[in-house]
Order: sequence, then structure tokens, then C-alpha cells
Amino acid sequence: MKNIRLWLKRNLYVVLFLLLEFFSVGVFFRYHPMQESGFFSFCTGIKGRCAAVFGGEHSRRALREENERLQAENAALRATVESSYFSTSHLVDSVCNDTLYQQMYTYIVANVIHATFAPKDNYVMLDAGSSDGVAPGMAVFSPLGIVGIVNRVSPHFSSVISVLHSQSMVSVSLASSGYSGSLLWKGGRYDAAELVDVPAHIKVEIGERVVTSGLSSVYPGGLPVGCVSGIASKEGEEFYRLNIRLSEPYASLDKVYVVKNLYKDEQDLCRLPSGKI
Amino acid sequence: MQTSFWKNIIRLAFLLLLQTLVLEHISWPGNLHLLVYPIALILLPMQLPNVALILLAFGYGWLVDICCGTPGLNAASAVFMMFCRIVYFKVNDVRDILHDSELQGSPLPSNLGWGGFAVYAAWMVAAFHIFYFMLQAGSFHHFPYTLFLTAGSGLLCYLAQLLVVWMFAKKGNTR
Repeated sequence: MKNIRLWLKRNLYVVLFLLLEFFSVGVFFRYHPMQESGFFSFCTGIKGRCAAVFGGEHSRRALREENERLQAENAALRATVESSYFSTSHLVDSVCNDTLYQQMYTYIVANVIHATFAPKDNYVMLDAGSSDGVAPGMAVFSPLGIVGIVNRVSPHFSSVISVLHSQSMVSVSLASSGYSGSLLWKGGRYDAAELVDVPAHIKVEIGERVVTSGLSSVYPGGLPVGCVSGIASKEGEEFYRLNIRLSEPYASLDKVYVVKNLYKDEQDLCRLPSGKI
Repeated sequence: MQTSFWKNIIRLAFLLLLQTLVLEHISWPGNLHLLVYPIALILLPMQLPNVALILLAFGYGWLVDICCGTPGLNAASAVFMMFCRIVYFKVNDVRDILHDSELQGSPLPSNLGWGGFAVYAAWMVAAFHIFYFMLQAGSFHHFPYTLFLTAGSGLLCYLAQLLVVWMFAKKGNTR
């Protein structure tokens, strides 16, 4: 206290200067609104430039946090849409207005921390593991398309067999007709795959949307996969071989959702051992 | 002591009247302002306590503001210049002048020498005019014009100050 008083006594003129200066400038701005607005727009400009220079990282962090918050919210919302439920009522009635639904899928938000881009077998590593509820066999997708299936899991990380893997086989269907087939990747381009086992008697349009069929216990139905870019099969073949342009840009994978099928064990119990994914 | 006191009072009053009654009504080419009243503050004795200097500058600036209808502008500039003066004399040690009771330690060429006075006056005039015109502009939108006004008006004030001091120095004390 004594030191403060001593400092004040010695530097009273500085305090007085600041007080009178602020008072005078304040009065000046009070009576000269044009200068006031000019001064404040100048200050705002400086603040904006400082924010641009120094606040870039802060903004990015804030944006990342906001993004994570939105993704969590998105995951929660996805869990509430109709495709995440299945009907427990199997009574065929003329008016089915009392159907009960059970939650079937829940979603875990994860970040891609590593991804390989080899010509044959590719993997993706996520920053979510068993402690987050991730388990082998779970499907992974992003808002743009499917990513792969969880292969191995540690407490904090998990590796995913990408769709861009020679062993990958996903049950997908043509959005318009609903006919399903298997999506395969035979290497090469990261944005192209092949759809096989689609009956040849149906009409397929180039550009037709391809989505997950929901027939496996892994992927929920209706997730975007890509679109038909060409027909590779020849006349007379019983099944189509369709070229698919994948919708997911695998080179820029960032945030993904891991799908938890709450009825997977039950479904697997009833599935034949030779069933495809 | 008494003579010096009255000299300063008369100088303050004369420059205030000259500024408000005469110079404020003269249009200078390029909208330049000839501000002479800061000369009175620049020449205040160095024996005055810092607090008194700040208060005096504030009061004097307010008088000019009231007469010119620019509330705050001259007071803020005068207070800023006076603070610069205090800092200037803190940086440049002039204790020998402070002990000179006969001359009352006025920062005149007779005490600082013509070189020292020219530098001191230039700093003060620059501090006052930069603050005055920047505050008046309120932004950097017309910075070249503000710079022109600052430099032009500052130069006029500086020359006027040197002229006045030179005229009175002839008749006044020499160390």
C-alpha cells in the first residue's frame, strides 16, 4: 500500500495526464461524431487486421471445436432418423398406425488420423477406439460416402479396412430400382469401383445413384456410395458389371462416423456363415 | 521571480488573445492553421511541478477550445504536448538550468543554446501538431492531407516561435 502511494505520488502527473487526455478526447468525440465514427472504424479495421494476423489459429481452433460440436449433434440426429430404427411390429394390418420402433444404430464421431493410398489394399486409422465404443466389424462413413469397416481396435485408436481394399465387398443397391449387388474395388483409381451381381434384366441409367442396401448388418441403408458411370458387362451376360464413380473423396477424409449396430450380434447369430458383408 | 511570473502570464494571455481573436479568423493557403498559443506552453518555466504543467496545459487548452468552439481538441493536444515536454526533460538532463534562480529555468535559447532550443521546440511543435491534426481527422483515410496539414502548420508555428524568441532574445538576458 505504501509502495503504491509512493508510486502514485511520484507519477501523479502520468495519471493526471491519462485522465485529462481521455476526458478531452472523449469530449471531442462527443461533440464531433464524424471523427468519432472515423476513429472507431479505424479501430475496428485495426482489430480486424489483428484478428486476421493473430487470430487465425484461434479461429481455426474455434472452427474445429464448432465442427466437432456439430458432428456430435449430427450423430445424435442421425440416430433418430427412420433408417436407424427397425419396426418391432410385424402384424400385417390394413392400417399400420401403431408401429413401434426400436433404436437400431447409434453413431460415434471420429477423426481420420492416417490413411494409405496404395494401388491395392488401403487402410484408414481413426482416433477413436474401444474406450469410445468402437469395435471390429463396425461400418465407417462420412457425410459424402462410405469409408470402410473397422478391422482392429486399441483403446484409443482403430484401423479401418477401406472401401479401397481388394477384400472389401459392400452390399449396395441402385437407388431408383432398389436392386442390390456387391461393390468391389479392383485397385487403380481411388474414385472408381465396380458393382457386380445386379441382374441384367433391369434397366440401368448412367448417373444413377448408388446407395448402401441395408441388407448387411454393417451399413445402415441409404448411405451414399456413388453413381453409375458406365456399364462394363457385355450383351448376353446374366449380371451387370457396372462402373461406379465413388462419391467419397478419399484423399481428403477428415471426420467420419462409426456405426454401431445394436442388433448386430442377434443378426449375425441368424446369418449364414458364408454371408457377405 | 515576480517578473518571470508576470512575463509568463502576459505571454499566455497575449498568445491566447492573438490565437482566438486574430489568427482563428485568417484563412491560410491550403487550409493550414497557424497555432501560436502552444508557444506559451513551450516556454513555461521548468521549475513548475509536472502536475501543475499538465493542469495548466489542460486549462489553457480548454480556454482556446471554448473560444474556438472545438471542445476537447486543443485541451487534448496541449496536455499531450505538455506530457511530451516532461518526458523530453526527463530524457535530456537539464538540472543546471533548474538551479538558475535568476533565469527561472525557462527553456529559452539563453539557457538551452540555439541548437538545444531548436531541437526542443521542434519536438514540442511536432508532438502538438501531430496529435492535433490526427485527432481532428479521426482516421487515416486522408492521411496524406493530414500529413500535409501537420507539416505545413507545424512549420508555420515553428518559424513563428523561432522569430518571436529571436526578437525577444535580442533584448532579453543572455547567459
